[in-house]
Amino acid sequence: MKVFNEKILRINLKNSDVTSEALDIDVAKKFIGARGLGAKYLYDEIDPAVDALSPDNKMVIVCGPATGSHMPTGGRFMVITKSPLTGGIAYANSGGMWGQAFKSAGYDMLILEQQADKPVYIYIDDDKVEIKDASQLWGKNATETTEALQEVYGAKAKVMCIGQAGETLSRLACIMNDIDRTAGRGGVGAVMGSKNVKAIVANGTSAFEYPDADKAKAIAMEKLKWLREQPATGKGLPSMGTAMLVNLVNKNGLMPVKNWQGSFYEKAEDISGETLRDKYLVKKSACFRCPIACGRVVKNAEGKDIGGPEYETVWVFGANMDNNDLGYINMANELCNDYGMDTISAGASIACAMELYEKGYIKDEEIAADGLSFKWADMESVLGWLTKMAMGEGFGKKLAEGSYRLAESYGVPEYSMSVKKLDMPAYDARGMMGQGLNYATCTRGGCHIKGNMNPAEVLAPPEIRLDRFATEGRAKAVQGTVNLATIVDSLGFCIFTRGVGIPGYVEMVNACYGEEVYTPESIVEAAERIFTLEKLFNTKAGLTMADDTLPPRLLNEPIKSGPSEGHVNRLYEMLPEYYELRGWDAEGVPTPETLAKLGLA
Amino acid sequence: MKIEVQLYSYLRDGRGKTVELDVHEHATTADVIKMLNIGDNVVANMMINDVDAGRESALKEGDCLSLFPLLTGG
Repeated sequence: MKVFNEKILRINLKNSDVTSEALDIDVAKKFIGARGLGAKYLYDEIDPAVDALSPDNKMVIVCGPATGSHMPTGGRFMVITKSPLTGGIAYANSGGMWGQAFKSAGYDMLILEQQADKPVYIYIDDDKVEIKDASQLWGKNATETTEALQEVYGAKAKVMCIGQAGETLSRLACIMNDIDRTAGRGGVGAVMGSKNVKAIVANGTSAFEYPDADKAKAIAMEKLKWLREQPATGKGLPSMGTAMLVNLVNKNGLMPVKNWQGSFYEKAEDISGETLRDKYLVKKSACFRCPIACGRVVKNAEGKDIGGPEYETVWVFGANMDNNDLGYINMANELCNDYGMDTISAGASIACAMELYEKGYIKDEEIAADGLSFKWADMESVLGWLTKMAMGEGFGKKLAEGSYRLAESYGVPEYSMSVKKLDMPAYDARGMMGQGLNYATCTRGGCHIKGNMNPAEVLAPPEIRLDRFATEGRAKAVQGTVNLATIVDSLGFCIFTRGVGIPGYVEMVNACYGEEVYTPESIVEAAERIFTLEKLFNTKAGLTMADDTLPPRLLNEPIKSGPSEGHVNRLYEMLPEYYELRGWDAEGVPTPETLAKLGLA
Repeated sequence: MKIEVQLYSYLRDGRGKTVELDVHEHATTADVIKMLNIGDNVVANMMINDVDAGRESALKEGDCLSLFPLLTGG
């Protein structure tokens, strides 16, 4: 294994044809790897207007140049496909161990084409690639599937799989790997389910080889030490996990409550990272080569160690449905992981239904047969709905389509707190102008992690923090943050290393290559290229400027109380400048000049 | 004068969730951080009575000061 193995594994599921082909290293460098490289292949190989769940969609699973290296957190990979949720491009990042296992088997990318006639799983063991019958696995959850396959192939074999939600083609389905790590957003699990692929097992034996191993390992050690010395990555995340944000976000009046009707949760302390640690934490867990270990391990009802909730999960099954019982949040998280459902979208869909019920759109008679309610904080019902969503049963089938399609079916899509039908995460953008611009323009929909303005607008020390209510210059700041996240995703790192900055990433990837492939300027240009290519995909898929917006609640309904009271997001003060900075026209379409400049023409 | 300090994240370790302090007149946020033996540049977010404050913000009798270390995540 090296920076790129220069080998693509391509599987046609219809005729069980397995081939390998050379990766063009110049293309790989131009699109960095992982997210960028996957977007390039998807864009070149499918019609963006295709039905996402049809055989003509493809699923690309791809590593970055740093995946499998000694660089801290260098173990990540991306799943790229057309999203059945948004209708645009989906790119979902995951950690764990699977990416390293796949790359060490000798490949950079796996392209899945067409659909298998019956459930299969794919077994990759270095050069050996087999398509196997998965009829005995179909219907099992992610934990059962992983344990069953590791029983056969051993614990060194790493398992990526779908749960029942992927099998029933829920648009909220994700892909699980290593039991509780997730390629989470945009319905990528439904695409895998549509292809009748239950799991992909990877077992690789090669070690990462560098042209100058001493230099590369010295740089890796230096960055590792730096991350351990930083308060956030050396102390905050390891001790509290991502849920450490609950109290601070809430104190700023940015914690969405009851499907974003409120922005301050009186009982936030009960669901905070501090409470999670003090009452539930068994130990922490880490992905491949990660010195941070933000993962939480808690006990489930049977006393078994399972993955604990992240910040977003704590919020969506907590404040967003007026629930302050962290025990139930742990249970909801466990169900989502086992069924293979994106926690943000699954919780947001239920919270949306709770508001639709409160407002009288959903009637008691519609859900009577399910025996469950949509009353706020009725967590026993929430657990029941999650099961019905994954199985595609009763009213759960409507919930499994996502909040937008649910609200739209009642003629009130405005109650879906989503952008491009992807549910927004736990930062109320009425109190963070840049975050709103990021949500509106993110090529995969309402997402924070691909350009999170929380560090700049909320978390930073006051001396360098941006005024979160100001719009001037915010387009430029968002562009920089989005480019940084694009680089991180494409290299194969975790976003929590972002403090090393672009020069740090360039130093690490060049050390993997053993030559000066990138400068800070050229890697930013590559990020511009990737983001514009994703935008181009969406444009050809039929998305327009009208999709680069926010729910009306964020644009028109001021926050009612708390530290962000009186504010709405002033998106349209920022959007024209953002398009201009990207080299897109006034409608948000990349101009011919920009495409030529970025080598995309 | 008496003030209340609310601590968050790992700042609670060894100090507790809430601390009542007797501070001198015109004491600032920075003075309180020092009194609690919290290292330089550890605290990134500070609020007085739930309103954003800085290191040199002055406190008055009965104020509630919230201190957060530099956080990340999401």
